[in-house]
Amino acid sequence: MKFKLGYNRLLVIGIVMGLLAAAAQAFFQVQPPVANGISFLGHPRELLNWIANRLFETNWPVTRAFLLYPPLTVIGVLIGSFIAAGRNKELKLRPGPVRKKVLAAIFGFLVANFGLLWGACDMRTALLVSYGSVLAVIALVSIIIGVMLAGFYMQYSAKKGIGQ
Amino acid sequence: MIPAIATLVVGLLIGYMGQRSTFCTISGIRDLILRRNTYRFRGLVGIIIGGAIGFTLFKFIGGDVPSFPLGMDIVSPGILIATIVGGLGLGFWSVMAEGCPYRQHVMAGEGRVGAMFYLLGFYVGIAYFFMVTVKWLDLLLSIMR
Repeated sequence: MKFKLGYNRLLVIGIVMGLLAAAAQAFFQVQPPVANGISFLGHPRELLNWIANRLFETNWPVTRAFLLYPPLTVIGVLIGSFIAAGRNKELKLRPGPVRKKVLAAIFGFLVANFGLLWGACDMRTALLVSYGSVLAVIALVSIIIGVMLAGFYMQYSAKKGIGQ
Repeated sequence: MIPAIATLVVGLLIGYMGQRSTFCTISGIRDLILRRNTYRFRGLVGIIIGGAIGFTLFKFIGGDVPSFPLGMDIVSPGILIATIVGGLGLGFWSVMAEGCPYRQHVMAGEGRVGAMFYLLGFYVGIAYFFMVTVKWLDLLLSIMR
């Protein structure tokens, strides 16, 4: 499969993702909560909580849709990416994007905790904006400000010669 | 069973598309702000457009789209503060990690070692949130009341 959509390729992929997420909710019971067709904090959280509840008899929250079977979005993404990379001869162990492994893990830890504080990843935030949520608009603006602050910090640290 | 299979199929499709493109909403915002480059930002715009079209259309043809549009859903000042702090942190640390959680999953699938360690920290972070952070939040909210 090749995408030859030029400069608007990501716009089209984004629209397809939005439609897939809406269809998952509207016709395949991937709710509640609403606008949860694609979520890279909600679904990993549900998957982890589901596994923890089964293995360790914890009582971490799992939504009604995933009581019997967990969401498999992240498994699908890992397999889909693996297949795409394999088909295009791009599958090999490489460093990065963050080269220091401990630092990468710390960033992952922080993203999970801040993301769960708001309750959604950036993609679900976008879906919630399209669902008409005022709170999601505030979250999206906060994310944009967070990105700006990080960008300015990186420019500052590059000028001062502070490495990652 | 249906929701699990639906999420698996959606995951496979967006995983494949994500590997063949450089789709990342956080990088899109970063590129727009720092480089004045709109290429990746169009992905974020696309999701919002696609979601809006999808939810509207599917509600119209009888799909299960409750409470659409949501409108004013700020239920308490505590939720608002958590949203702002959470959003700021999510944006900031995702830029430092060079990609949103979705992008990190895609990169881990294609063999990027840093993304695999990111995911290790990410899943430990989720467990930590439910074991520790939630209790602190409950304490804070009870003080605010």
